[in-house]
Amino acid sequence: MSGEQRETILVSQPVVVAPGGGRRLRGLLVPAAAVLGALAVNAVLLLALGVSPFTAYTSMVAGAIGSGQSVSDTLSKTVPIALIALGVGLTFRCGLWNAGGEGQFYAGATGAALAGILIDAPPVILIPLEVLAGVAAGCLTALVPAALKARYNTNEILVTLMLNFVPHLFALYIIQGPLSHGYAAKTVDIHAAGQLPWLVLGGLRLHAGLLFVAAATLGLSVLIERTTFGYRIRAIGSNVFAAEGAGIRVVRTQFVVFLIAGGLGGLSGMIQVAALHHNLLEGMSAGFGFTAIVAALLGRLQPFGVLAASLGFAALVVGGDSMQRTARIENSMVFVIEGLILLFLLGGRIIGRESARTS
Amino acid sequence: MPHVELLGITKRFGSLLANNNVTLDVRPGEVHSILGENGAGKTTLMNILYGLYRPNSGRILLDGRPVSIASPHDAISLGIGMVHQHFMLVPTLTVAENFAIGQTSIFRRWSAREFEPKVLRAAEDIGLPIDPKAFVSDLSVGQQQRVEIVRALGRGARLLILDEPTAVLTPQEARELMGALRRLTSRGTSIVFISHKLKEVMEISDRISVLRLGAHVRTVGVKDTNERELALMMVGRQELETVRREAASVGPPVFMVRDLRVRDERGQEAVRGLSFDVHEGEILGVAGVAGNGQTELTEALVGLRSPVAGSVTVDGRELAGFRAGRMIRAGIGHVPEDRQVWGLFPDLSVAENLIADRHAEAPFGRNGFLQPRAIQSHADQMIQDFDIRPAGRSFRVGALSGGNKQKVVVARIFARRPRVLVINQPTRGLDVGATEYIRRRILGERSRGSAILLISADLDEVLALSDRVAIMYEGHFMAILPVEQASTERVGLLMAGVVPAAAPG
Repeated sequence: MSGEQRETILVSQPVVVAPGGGRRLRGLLVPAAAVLGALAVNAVLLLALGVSPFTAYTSMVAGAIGSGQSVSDTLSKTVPIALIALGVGLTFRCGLWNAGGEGQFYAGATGAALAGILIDAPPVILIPLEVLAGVAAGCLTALVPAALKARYNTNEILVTLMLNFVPHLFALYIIQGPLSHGYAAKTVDIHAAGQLPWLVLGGLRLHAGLLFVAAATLGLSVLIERTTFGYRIRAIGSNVFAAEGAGIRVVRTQFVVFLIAGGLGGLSGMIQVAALHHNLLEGMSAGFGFTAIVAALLGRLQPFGVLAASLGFAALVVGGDSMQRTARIENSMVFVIEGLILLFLLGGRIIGRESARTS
Repeated sequence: MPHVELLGITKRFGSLLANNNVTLDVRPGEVHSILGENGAGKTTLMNILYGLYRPNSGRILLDGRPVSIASPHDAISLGIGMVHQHFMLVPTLTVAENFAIGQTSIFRRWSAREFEPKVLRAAEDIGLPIDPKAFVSDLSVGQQQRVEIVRALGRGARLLILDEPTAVLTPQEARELMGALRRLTSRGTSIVFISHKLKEVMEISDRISVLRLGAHVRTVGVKDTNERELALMMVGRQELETVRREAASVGPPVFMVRDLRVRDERGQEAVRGLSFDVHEGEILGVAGVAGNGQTELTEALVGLRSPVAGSVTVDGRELAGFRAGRMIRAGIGHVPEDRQVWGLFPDLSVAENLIADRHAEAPFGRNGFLQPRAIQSHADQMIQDFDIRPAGRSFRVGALSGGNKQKVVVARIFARRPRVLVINQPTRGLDVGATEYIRRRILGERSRGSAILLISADLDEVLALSDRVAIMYEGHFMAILPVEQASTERVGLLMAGVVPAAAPG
């Protein structure tokens, strides 16, 4: 391996790394502290603005899980966040800072919508085609930063962050252009054959995407903990130099992981089109990409943790919308809380690493 | 009256005694060299003088008055300047801007241009031209060093400490530096010159102090000593190890290296045409002060760095330039210099660490899936075999003690029964018990018939374990001797770059 190639691995070690395996209770301490800390600081901000934190928080909780409808909404909102977060979490686990969830989402949504609108076929063909289109679009979007990283060791944070604009704007073009609905900022609907129905379970209307979420969570969990490929991911995330020294093909593994994350992001967009909106819509993503990053970190990069965190953030978003309606408090507060959680998480990790210096 | 006196300086880092009651003084206008091997305490002592460390005990006198140096800021205001081995310049700024660092106030507007004449003046004083408008990143290493020196002088340094300054210079630049230093002393500046290179030290110094293992051995005037004597002082005679080697049963050559050339991070040749063989069942030790190409040599031999020329063969198979995975499969085992960086996965368990290079092969990995039972039983075996003590509740390898971490690394490498072992600094940072254990295991591999290349800056370790000894200096092997002929005096001279004139060792 050449000297230049050695440079490749020298720069990719992120500050935040997941601990291995499920050390259950102790592992919950940091995320819990981060959430509480964020809520506390946010409460101070609210007080400074003359708003009662009590009112804000209670109306949020009521809005998130207060009724059957709320629960259904919360679970539905979990789907797009969780799918992106699972992919992003996987890349973080492997030492890559992937901030491209938003773009991969829109790419997948666009791909799936195009398939659903332009192709007329029975469901058994159309639905898988939509899945394929969505996943492929997401992968293609991730291919750019993945290839640049593999070949030139370009900083993936910058590339993914800036690349987010491209699929988003392309989606807008499709929406405003040839397939426009005419009156609203959305395209015509996809064929009925390409639409996924709501699942009804115990009186709740559930997003069809929840099946995908369950499958992805389980699948990734098995992949990371039980497979040799997953071992390589964890090894690279723990110490990229030692991984290289042990003969692991770091560049290759990271490339594949990046594509997997892109696929999941694309799937997230696809499922929103097929199961919820039934078309391509402006503003489909309520900042899902960013929320997904924080959810991945809060969930300590472990699939089930990420799922739980995604659920929490979905509750936050749904509760926030309700709070805006009932208590008249701006729901942008939700983003403030998210940002605070991120700060606390990163700060806690950095402090933790410094104090754990060993020989 | 001496310019600076260090009296009874003692410095501990945990259980490590870096400076042991060291007393020495520097006279005004002299070049005083501090000579010693790695770990002798030279840099630590000077870092104390420069305010980067506080001593556990001892005093410092400046012009006869006791002073307290709590930070480099204090040192600079007392007229003490230091140029470290790793420069402290900001590459994206110009020379003048770097000069300005620490000398400006936020309450007053300043521009780098104010400092340009100062830079030029200081540079002229020592006869080393510098362009104040140049960006540091565009300068050569030698020029960057000049900036560091000029900056120290520009801050009013009357005592200049240089830590291994010629390690990064070409011979031409080194000569220019020597000239500049002489000009400085003629103007009354005192210089402390840290080095392990005997020739230079003899050339430039007025007096030489030798440190060994944290203690001050002796201070001599350059006219009252010679290279032989200094080498002996540097290297000394230690108590023999409790680890004893049996006679070797050496087989045919297994690991053959020819004309190996390797470049370092900066693009300079660190390994310059090295050729050697290692036989089955023997340990070829490589002695030498760290920084003479050992790291680059190791990396090239284990697939972490591509050599620019040369061949590396194991049992006749050419391997030069291949990456680590290939080398491992070809039978080369690597015990890395820095286990934290190259050898361990701190977030994974002991069991997972132990199979890192074999995780995808049977029995640990089948059809892409890990086999936890096989992994665990292997781990149990290794833990017992190598007496690895886990750290309380945490399963993370990162929580183990240094000795146990090294055992994990060694267990992983040795479990493969490698044909060839490239071992670099195996007992760095370990306590006596762990050190002895690791050395015994290395000898065990030797009995098993592995061909071992043992690189260590610890000369006693090399002499205790090796069958033959090579001494590495500036990218070459100065000599390869059977260990019986490797007297400490002879090796000490070779390590410092001096070929002994007369034959007997």
